Amino acid sequence: MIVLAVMLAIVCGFAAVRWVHPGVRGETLVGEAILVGLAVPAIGLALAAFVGVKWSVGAVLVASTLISAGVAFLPSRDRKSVHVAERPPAGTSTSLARCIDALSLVCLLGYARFAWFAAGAENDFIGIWGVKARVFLARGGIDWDFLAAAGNDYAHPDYPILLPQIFSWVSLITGEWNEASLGLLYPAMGFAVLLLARSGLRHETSSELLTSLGSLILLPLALSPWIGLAEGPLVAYGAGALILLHRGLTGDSGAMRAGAVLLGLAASIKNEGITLAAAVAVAVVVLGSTQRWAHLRSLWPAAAIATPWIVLRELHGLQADLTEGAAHVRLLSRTTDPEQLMQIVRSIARTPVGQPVMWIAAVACIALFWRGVQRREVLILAVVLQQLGLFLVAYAVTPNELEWQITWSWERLVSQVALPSAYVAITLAARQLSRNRSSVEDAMLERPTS
Amino acid sequence: MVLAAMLVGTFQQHYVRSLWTDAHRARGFFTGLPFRKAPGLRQFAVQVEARTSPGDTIAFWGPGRGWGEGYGYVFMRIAYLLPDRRFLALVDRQDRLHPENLEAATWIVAWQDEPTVPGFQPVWRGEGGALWRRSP
Repeated sequence: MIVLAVMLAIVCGFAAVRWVHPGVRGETLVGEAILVGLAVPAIGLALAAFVGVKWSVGAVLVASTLISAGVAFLPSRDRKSVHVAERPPAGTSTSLARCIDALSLVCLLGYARFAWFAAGAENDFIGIWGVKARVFLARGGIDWDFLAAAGNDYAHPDYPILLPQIFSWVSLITGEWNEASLGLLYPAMGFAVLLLARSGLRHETSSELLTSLGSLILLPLALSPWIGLAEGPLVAYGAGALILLHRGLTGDSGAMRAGAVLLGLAASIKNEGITLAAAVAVAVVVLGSTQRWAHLRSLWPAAAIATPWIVLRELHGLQADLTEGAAHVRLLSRTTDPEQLMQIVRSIARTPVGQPVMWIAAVACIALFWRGVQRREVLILAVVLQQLGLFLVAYAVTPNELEWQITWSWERLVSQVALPSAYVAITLAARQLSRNRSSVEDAMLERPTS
Repeated sequence: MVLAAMLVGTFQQHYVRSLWTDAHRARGFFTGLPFRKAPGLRQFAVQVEARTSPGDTIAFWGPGRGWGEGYGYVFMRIAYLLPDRRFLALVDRQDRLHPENLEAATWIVAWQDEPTVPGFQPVWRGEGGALWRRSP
């Protein structure tokens, strides 16, 4: 039944992507279709709840069909999407690339198995994402009373609700609450963002070998070990958005729009997605080219998707725990007191960062190949740095015990920006290697034959 | 070289090893993992479900005096296991008491504790916990 649910998502996704990113083909099309498609029935459920229709299989199917059909038949605003044909492989290294792809596939299948048997074990799945989905399912709609109830602050009522809604619609279609089935959404999302990364790397390097190698490096960063939590979906939508925006800034307006849609969906997954969208807007304005305002305007889908939840949670008075009480006093006290600042630094230093070797190598890679950096990559790095800065601000304002907060969040937070950081590093390195290879090939072609 | 270092840095062997893991055993382990500190809670929830109705408002009387001392652990799990009952917490994450939730409840579910609350009478006692109903 989970296969049926994913098929429904892909059909919805294809219909939506047809309008969002006209002319798109191949890996990019499938990646966008999976990510957008998983969100369409969830958005349908939100609309059903808004008009007072109780959630059911019929409501999911009708709402998804209406949204998909409506979007598919919308006149495209802009058909100037530049679809760059994915370049043919270099030839000599294709076999090696296929071997690397086979290894990637083995890892993906292993992860899918892990996601299947490890689903539902995380504390935050029980207390935040899973419980909301189950309560909404039982109520047949968004249960505002549950979110606003005194004592339910453990469930972070202020967090956006796209992920619980995805769990809800999949459970409606499969006819049961099955944590193992829900776990399989994680490899699906990871696979989707990997397809976007592959397509992006191929576009940047024109090398099949470097594309495959880059995909294998990125694969574990796309496959979150926290099954049932928001990190996996946030990485999928957030990193997918940044990869598409990276491509969109070359003049591909369809990629830009698709990136903005994924950015809006990332903002609907978790609060860090909202700050990600804001960080992208700031980076576009501050670091953008002469077209910065046009690029900013093209992010409108992100604002359109993210704003309703932000308005609704304000209307329902759902407050974030971080801003509870005198947040500004805590911020001032922690940032002006060297001892408290050092406590943050010490706690972070004690907490594992996930993949330290990857981070060291990525930073070295970016430094080594900085000369080949383009404005688009600087923009992504600026977004990553802003996000890291905002995580530190969150620690400075948290009302929770600092050591506890950092211990239980830092590794997950850093994992949210690992994929885009590594993507930039790989792009820079691969682009340089491609150039070197082309130079050697050119030199060999020009060498006079005696 | 740097790409090789990145590859070494990100590669996750345990995803590959998962292909050969005994899935049945692993699923059993992970299913029980979130309830390991409250053995018997799942069975207790089944008994509570059988004696209450969907939509019932139930105050949770749990172990420990603070959210982090066991109360929150069990409250989160019972609310997850019985999503169509409206569970009300008597203590929140900041350890603030919510006696108003006791006023609003028609049932009290107690786990590893024995409350004495005027206006409620015991209707069932099982292993690990008990159920009280507001007196008519």
